Amino acid sequence: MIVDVLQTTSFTEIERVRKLPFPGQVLVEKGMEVHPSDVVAEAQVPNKIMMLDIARGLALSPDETKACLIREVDDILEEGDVIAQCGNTLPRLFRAPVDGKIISYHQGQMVLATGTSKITITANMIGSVKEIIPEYGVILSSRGSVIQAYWGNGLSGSGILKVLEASLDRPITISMLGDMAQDQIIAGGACLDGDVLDACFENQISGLILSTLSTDLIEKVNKLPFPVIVLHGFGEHTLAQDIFGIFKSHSEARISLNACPVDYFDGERPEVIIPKDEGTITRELGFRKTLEVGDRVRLISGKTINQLGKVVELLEEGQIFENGVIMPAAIVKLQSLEKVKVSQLNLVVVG
Amino acid sequence: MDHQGVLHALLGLDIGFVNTRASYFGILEEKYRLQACGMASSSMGEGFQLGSGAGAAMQDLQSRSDVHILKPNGELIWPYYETRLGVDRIAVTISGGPELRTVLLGLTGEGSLKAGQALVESMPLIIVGSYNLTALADEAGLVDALVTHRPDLVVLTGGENGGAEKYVKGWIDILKLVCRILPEEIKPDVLYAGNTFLEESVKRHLEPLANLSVVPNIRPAQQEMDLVPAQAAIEKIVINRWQKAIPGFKTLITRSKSIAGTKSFAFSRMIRYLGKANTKTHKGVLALDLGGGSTLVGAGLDEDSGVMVQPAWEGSPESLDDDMIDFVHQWTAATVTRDEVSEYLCNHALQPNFIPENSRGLAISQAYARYRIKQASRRLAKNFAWFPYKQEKGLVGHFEPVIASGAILTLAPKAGQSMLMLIDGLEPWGVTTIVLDRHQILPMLGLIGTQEPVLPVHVLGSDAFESLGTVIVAVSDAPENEAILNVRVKTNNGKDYEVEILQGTLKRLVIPSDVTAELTLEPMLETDVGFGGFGVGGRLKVPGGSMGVVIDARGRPLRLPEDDEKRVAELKRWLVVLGG
Repeated sequence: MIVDVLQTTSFTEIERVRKLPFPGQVLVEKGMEVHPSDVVAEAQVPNKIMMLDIARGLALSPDETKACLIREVDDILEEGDVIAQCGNTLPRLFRAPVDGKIISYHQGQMVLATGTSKITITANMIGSVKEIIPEYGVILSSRGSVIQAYWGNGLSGSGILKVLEASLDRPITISMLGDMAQDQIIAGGACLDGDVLDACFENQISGLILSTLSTDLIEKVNKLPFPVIVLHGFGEHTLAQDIFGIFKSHSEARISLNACPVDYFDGERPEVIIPKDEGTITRELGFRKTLEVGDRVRLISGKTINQLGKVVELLEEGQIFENGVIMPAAIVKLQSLEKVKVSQLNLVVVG
Repeated sequence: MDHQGVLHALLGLDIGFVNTRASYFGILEEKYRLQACGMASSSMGEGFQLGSGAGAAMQDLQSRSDVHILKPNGELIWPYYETRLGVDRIAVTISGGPELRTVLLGLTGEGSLKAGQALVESMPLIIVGSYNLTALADEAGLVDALVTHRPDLVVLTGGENGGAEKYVKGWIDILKLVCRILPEEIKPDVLYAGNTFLEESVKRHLEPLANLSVVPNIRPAQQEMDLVPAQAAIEKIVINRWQKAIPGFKTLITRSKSIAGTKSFAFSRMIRYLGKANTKTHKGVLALDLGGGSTLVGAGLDEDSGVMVQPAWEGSPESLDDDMIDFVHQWTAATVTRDEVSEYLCNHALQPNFIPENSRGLAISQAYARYRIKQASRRLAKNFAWFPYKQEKGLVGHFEPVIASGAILTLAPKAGQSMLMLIDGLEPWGVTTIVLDRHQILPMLGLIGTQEPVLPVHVLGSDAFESLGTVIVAVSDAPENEAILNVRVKTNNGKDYEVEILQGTLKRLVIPSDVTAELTLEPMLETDVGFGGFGVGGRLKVPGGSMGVVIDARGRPLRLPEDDEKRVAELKRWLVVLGG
């Protein structure tokens, strides 16, 4: 059975690819330090199209106009540049009305792109440029803790980690937030109250890490100007102890959030990166993996939801569950040493 | 394949977003039969090669049967005729790859764009922009918009054959610009499926700039729609792009010399075949697949056929709307709050592989299955006017059989649960039979049929499909609990009895799989049982099945009590009646 992998690693070598969909310009150099909002590569696509009726402007037929052109497709023009000219003694000129690039010419009509739309790729993490992918982007690297999540609001950023210990086993309240600062990223338990989000917004914090989120607040979170990462999905669940432990030991550290959507084909998940220099390295697992005995897993259903455990047995032949559904199961030994039988499909490997 | 060109052993691989299924078709007593099946997780996505999931599914198939298709090192044995082991050919149907971002260009919303939408929604594409001729008034703005969409595919429709050319030419000019502006790496494929009189002009202008496919007009005249050639062209585009996007896909199909196609097109091929084959009965055929990644629904009726593919979760929790949550809450046969339903659905959207382990989760999942069936049927009816699904009435036409697949149906702990999900979701009228495609081979038959046309015919006539039972729907305006139908039952094992059906009830007649029964339906004057009008009855021979015969007199549309407690009790009662 192939299952998802969610990294919860206290120290690892991190490598992330940031790549444009088509060639452009890489804006950083190998070895450079980057922050989440830094643009590492950009590409441009012409836009703001303007149609120029050259035939009409020169009072010629479309067929006659072609011979008068002195610029051609793909030429870059500045405002006032002569595009076409006819007549020798008293020449009639057709000039570029604005800066632009000639996209096409057909039957006396010219198409000018007067602007460009930029496609940019940001670093979305704190790290350094390990390798340049010419014209496309970079491979970024860092060392530290990685905690991956189920959902994010699409933004990225960095800030100083503040852990709300009081919210570990209770939903976050405004009073738990205390004094907030612009450079803070707040990590806590479940967020069920829109006022908590309003308070964070008013104090212009730099990011929010939640164990779970009320489904009523999805829309609101999507409108916030800072990244929000939801570690365990939707509803009301406490923050997993192991993750809380990592956060607690890095309180006041500068961390980065990449609250991107999950992308199965690019292998991207929302994640928190806590850069640091020292620790015992654990190798990052892939995006998904075949479940095996010995895997460290998190349960995503049942009474022991979000608990960590180790797979001690795989039961490939169908097992009957409480509701009558028959599916392959795994026996998982929890940290409490209790053994539970769960569907293999309802496990994620913790990297 | 032997020297006479006969295929003796074929392997079908159905690769979905969640699971890969392997099906082995061999010849027994001179007929093709489904001889073995296997399943494994799909190895789709970053860090995986598609072939490893396919290999695991083949290993599973081999381990569960006497069929020997793999060498000890895991390589496939072939050809079959040399060793009487292995396979002659492999066919791969695939779904779950990244949907192609598609822009639809046409003339009018009710004409070419509607046909274009039906086309796009029948394939693994997603519409990111749709424009009619009014958009041509602002050419510059339009070009900017199209460039911003960065489409993978542009479908250009419009104009009846021999009709006005001006506007289609306008689109061609726009597309030329867009293709010039977009960099080579993200240039879209272009499919022209409009006025055939303009084909040469389209080719002359667009072929040098884009990967162009030209197919016959999808709407050649006002009341005509023919999507098949366009679907076939899109199929090639999708397979080509997925070979680049899905690691290992290209290697899998080139190494195994397989034929490959999208699940949706193979499914639609089978629907067309079954619809035509059913012509004599004047009934249509309907098939549904509630897959982990998408919902497929297709219907065929005489010469008409149509298919709709819809992502199961539309990709994210944000796509869940209030109507969906309300519907699922209403149809959950367990006491749950609306918030619980909302959380369950949002979390399920994040983890499409998730399977409920408790009764509440299962009840929500099964209610969601009803929603998926209803939504897909609604969308199918929107795209194909001949498909008689009405929001306020249900499926009013006669479709028999209804062939259903998907883990939520085939893995349901009780057959009654599967039956009820299908009846509640479709709300059929008249008489129909429900068949489960437990091994999800229907699309595979559609693809293999292109190589070996008799294989689908043989397999459809075998026991590869499981008959769940017959559904008889009695519709009446009579008050609750009033008798609306009398049914006399005569079985071939000598059991004769009579049943009175009351308005508002659901009734099951147990008829085992090895028994057939003759039913005489005697409806009251105001009752319609699909025999030609109110009060018209008749005789009906029905085969047995795991559910036997289900008589649904709950009315159309189905209504649930407002009160939460009564509603849950009613839903549970219906399940109990069907043994669920």
